[in-house]
Amino acid sequence: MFVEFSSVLRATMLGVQLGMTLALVAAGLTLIFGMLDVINFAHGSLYMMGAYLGVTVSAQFGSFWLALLIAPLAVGVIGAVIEVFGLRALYGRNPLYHILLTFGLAVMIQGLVVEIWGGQSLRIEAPASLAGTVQIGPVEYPVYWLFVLAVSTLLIAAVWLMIDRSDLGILMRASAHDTEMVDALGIDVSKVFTGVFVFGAVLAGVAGVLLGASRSVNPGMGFGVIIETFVIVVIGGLGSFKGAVYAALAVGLVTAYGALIAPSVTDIFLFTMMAVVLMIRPNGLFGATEAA
Amino acid sequence: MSLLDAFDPRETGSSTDGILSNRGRFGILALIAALAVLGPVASAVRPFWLYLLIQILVFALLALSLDFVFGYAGLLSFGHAAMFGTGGYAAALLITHVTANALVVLPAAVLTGVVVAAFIGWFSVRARGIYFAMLTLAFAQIFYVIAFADLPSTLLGVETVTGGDNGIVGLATLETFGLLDLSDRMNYYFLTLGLVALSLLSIVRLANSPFGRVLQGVRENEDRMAFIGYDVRRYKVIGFAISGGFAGLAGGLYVPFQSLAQPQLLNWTLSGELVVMLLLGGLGTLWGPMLGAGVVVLLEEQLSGFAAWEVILGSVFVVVVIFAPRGIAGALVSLWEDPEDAIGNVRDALANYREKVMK
Amino acid sequence: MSDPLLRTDSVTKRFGKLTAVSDVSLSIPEGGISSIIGPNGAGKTTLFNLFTGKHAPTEGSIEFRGEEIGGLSPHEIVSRGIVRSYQITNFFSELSALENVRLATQADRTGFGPDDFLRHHASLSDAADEAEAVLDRVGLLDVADQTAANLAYGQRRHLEIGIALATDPDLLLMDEPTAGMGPEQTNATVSLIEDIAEDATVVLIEHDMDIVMNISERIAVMNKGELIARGTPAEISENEAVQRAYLGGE
Repeated sequence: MFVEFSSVLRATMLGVQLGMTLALVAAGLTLIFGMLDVINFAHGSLYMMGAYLGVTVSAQFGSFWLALLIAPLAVGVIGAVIEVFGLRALYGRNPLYHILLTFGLAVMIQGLVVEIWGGQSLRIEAPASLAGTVQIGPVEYPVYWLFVLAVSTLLIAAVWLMIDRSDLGILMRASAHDTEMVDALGIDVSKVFTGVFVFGAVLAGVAGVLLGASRSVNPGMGFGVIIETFVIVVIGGLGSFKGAVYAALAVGLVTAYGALIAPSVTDIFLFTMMAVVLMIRPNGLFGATEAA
Repeated sequence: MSLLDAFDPRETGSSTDGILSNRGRFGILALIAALAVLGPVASAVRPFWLYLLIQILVFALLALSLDFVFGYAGLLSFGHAAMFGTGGYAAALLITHVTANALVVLPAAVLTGVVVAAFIGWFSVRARGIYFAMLTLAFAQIFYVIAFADLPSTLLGVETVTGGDNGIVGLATLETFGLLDLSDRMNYYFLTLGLVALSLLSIVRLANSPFGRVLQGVRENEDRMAFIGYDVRRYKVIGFAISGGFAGLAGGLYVPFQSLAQPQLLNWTLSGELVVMLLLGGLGTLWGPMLGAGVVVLLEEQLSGFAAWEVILGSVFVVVVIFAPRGIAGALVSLWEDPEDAIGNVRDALANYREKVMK
Repeated sequence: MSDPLLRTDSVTKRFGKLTAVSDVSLSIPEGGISSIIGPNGAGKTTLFNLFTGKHAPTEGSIEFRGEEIGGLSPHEIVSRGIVRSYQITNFFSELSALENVRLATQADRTGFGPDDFLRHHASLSDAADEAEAVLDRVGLLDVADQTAANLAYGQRRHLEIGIALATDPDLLLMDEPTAGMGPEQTNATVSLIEDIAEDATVVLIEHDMDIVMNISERIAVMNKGELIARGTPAEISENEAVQRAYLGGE
């Protein structure tokens, strides 16, 4: 099979863009796991809520920018409700219950979405200022996609810096490893937990709005993205932010190249990649290894 | 990696002792007898109920097979749909191309389940906890895509094998050398009931065998099992393969009954629903998950008439997880042991919840 | 000197950049009690992990009865007769004391034959008898039916030893068996160790110098991954390198 250079280039750009946006979703999932020890099955639903709220806000006020601001914040509020009224009751219990609880929530949110917005595919209207395409070498590339790439990359870089440098990041890493220590410092762990969960929800909400204007918005998208994100987070190593970013890029690229070669079976490439990584490194690329 | 080590179901206090006692055995036999009577009664009142009963039995078998590894051996399989679905597809392909004889089709479904589970298990037991779960999920999804995209037809260069997203439709029903007319739904019900009962007895037997005890030890402390001389990986793979056989049987019963094999049988949403049945019913009790399967099938059936049935279904799970973490089995056992305390328990659970949330 | 039971030749274990065990060569003859001592982080527990198959050595060899065992998996090493007990209690906390020990006595009677799947586990009555005998030996027969998690601290530590003992080892590696015990419990444990040493070879990791000096026939001293001294208790207490490692420097 002969694939033209320009399509490979285009797929590469597409893959990087998809990867960075998925990294926004995956970052929240992996941070929440690292801190709260919770596998958040409803994380894809938060992403979906971002997209649907984006549809409503942008239709109501005719502004994509307002949607990009308001929808993620609203998703953050939903995240706070889930953490405070749901997960809090389960801390200290077998983490399996977190999965069941969030799985139940995901089913519930999907039902709510169908109730409110109906089952058909919707779309967020991208702003006119980002319409059209630009010529990059041999590739004609939509301006909006470049915008998505830029926003996602900036956000990921900001989160990376925050985790690496700021006091908040150090605190987050500390309470992941030793909640007792943080307790002893006089910091309210439960506030930190809520904060991290909300932060992850907001990131997922941003991704929802961004992709909502380039992919279709439908009730199945929550469950669809959660599988992709699980693959990313598991490949990267649960709880590792760095791992999630690298793995997200890999998944984005594999998806884009896979679509070039054999569109109907891209998932097989993804799952095979995950299986191979886990076979070689059973805790993912950057997962904590067993202490000696 | 203490976080992931914590990811095993030991705290649910699962022990099979409850069903091993004579009282437990008597209970099982009584339930089977009751179901044998219930079938004809239900069918006489509303024929559709018989259809539901068969559906419940099949999923109860599937939940049982999963609980044997998930609750009993601590192997968190999130890919049990793979064995159910491949067992079902094996049955469909045999019926379409070879024979509809149950004595061929059902053993072939079991064998398919065993082989697929041995394959998935052999690769997946290298990882533990949630990573094991994700590996099983990944392998199951690969089977799903294979069926959905009908890869075998591309590879073999024929028009269709799995039928793609439509699946294999219009299957003839099973036959048994003309001994039992399985197109009569009542007979199919008794066949299913018999096989489910037999499976339950076999799994209880297995759970109590020296092998089953080793699996229980693996669930409790897999490292220590290795350091007192057990080849833990081998035990896990064999346990997983056995479980796969029962899941394959469930698939082999389900597909001819629906006269349809479709990719949804292999999808991870089914695996997820199964895990829900387990936790809802009571992990590691064997009988709890079977009840859980019944409740989930009934809920879905009853609620699908409502507009927002997913919302209700989701809410039920959320409430059960928060207030009744040991599932239906746990609630029933504590009700049985101390009925007067039930109201007190509910009050405690509410107070406990309020305290945790307000923290 | 007759052939040693266990012999290591330049064994080294590295975790990334960290060298936990460095070029250790030692031999342990059959019978009696040997001890490995050294400050925290000296590599003692890692050495045990190498002997029992938790880790494979990066370099060097480990021979048991003249046969290479470095890099074998744990269950293969157990079947050759090497078993360890743990510093932290590491048992089956939901099961009763008897069931804990029975899992161990059952190990060499359980395989993958039809019987192992079909009969009731209770029919392995000799495994149960043996388990009771072991519980008797470690002084836990009267709490045989109690859930392991509910045992008192000293009882748990003895159950820990009992599980290891139940596999009928030729070489028992014990990681700080008296840690955290009061004087009375310690005495009981010491006599248990001496009793075990009657018919198995025992290697101890122990911090309590009184115990080490009293019951060991041989002592090996490790510091920072290296073997710095070997000898009888008398020789070790006079050794300057040992005194430096324990008193000076850090």
